[in-house]
Amino acid sequence: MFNKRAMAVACGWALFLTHSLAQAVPQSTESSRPKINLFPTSVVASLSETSRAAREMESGMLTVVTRLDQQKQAYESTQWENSEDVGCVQLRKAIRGSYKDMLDVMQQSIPEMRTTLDDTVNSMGGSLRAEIGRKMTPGDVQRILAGRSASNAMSPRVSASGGRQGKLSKMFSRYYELVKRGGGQADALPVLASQIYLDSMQSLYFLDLIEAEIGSQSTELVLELEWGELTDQISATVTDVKALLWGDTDRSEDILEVGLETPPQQDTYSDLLVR
Amino acid sequence: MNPRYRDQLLSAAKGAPGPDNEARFAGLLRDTIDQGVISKRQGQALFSQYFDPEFYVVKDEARSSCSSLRQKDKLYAGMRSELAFKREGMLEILNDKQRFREAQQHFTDLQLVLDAVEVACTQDV
Repeated sequence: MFNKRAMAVACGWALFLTHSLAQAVPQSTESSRPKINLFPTSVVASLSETSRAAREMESGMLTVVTRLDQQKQAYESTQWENSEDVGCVQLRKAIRGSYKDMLDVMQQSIPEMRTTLDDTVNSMGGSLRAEIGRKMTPGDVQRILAGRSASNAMSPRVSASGGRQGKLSKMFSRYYELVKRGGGQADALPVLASQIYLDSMQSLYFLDLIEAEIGSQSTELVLELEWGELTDQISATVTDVKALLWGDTDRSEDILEVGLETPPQQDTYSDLLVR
Repeated sequence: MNPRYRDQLLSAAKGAPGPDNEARFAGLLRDTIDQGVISKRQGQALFSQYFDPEFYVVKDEARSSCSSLRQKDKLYAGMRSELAFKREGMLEILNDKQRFREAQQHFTDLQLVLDAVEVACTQDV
């Protein structure tokens, strides 16, 4: 049971982080297309708060994950598996303790993350409902999307910062920079706003699952702290968390590229096309 | 429009796939509109369904998005059918892969946005 739950937490946390959270883009107006204001101050503020919460969570995780990783490496190098040697038992106990610390940090991060995500869901959902749901027809939405142009100008160019910046906070930094930059490409706004909204809602769902699993695992860990072999799932969880927080794959570019790749359309059949 | 007539028009335009077929098809359509065989609106619908990366079925929806999305399944079914028409028009008739990719991008972007808007509309209590 413990193994399955450890995996559930790892998977849930992974999905939460990778699906998280808000992105924002600058607003733009072009006279030929419907006007849209999907990113009012409230959305930008919730984005900023989520970015800050992510940074805090990452920095809190860094210390404990690093310690856990070092302990795990030491344990593996000694080949003490199934050994009842005193040193081996103590190291296993220390690893379990560190693992519990990691779960505690996650658990402590959840309330603030939930609050910022709730704010993002509420503000983004309100914008989508008011600006698109009520004001626009699906055809209006299509016209906005069809106006995509100069997509390269929109792509973020955030210089790589030194140190070990987490993926999540890096993603938010990029989006926040776009917001501050101003600039404009109105055609991409509905896609990005929709992605923010749906991802945030999904993240909230995983947050609830994670919180329940952590509570359950913490209880079992207290009971098992004094004995028992280390499980593969502990190692897998640590590996997943490391990959999520500081791994190589960066999904923020993928998200920003959505809806921005298509070149301008050249249409010469105006009498046969409905606009 | 009579489906057989539509098929005849498409067959006449097909031949060897290539960009010139768009002009041939447009010429045939204009002739049939001028002759009163089909209305201008029907001609526009046919041309748009096959050669426009944007979706005619979406343009044709006059209600607000919140209202339209109460019948989202129907709208999406129409988009899927139209994407098949575009595949025929853009790939089999024009051999224009770029344009078809553009239509596919519209398809996925629209579905993402409309999915989100539908949820947002239903959350409004």
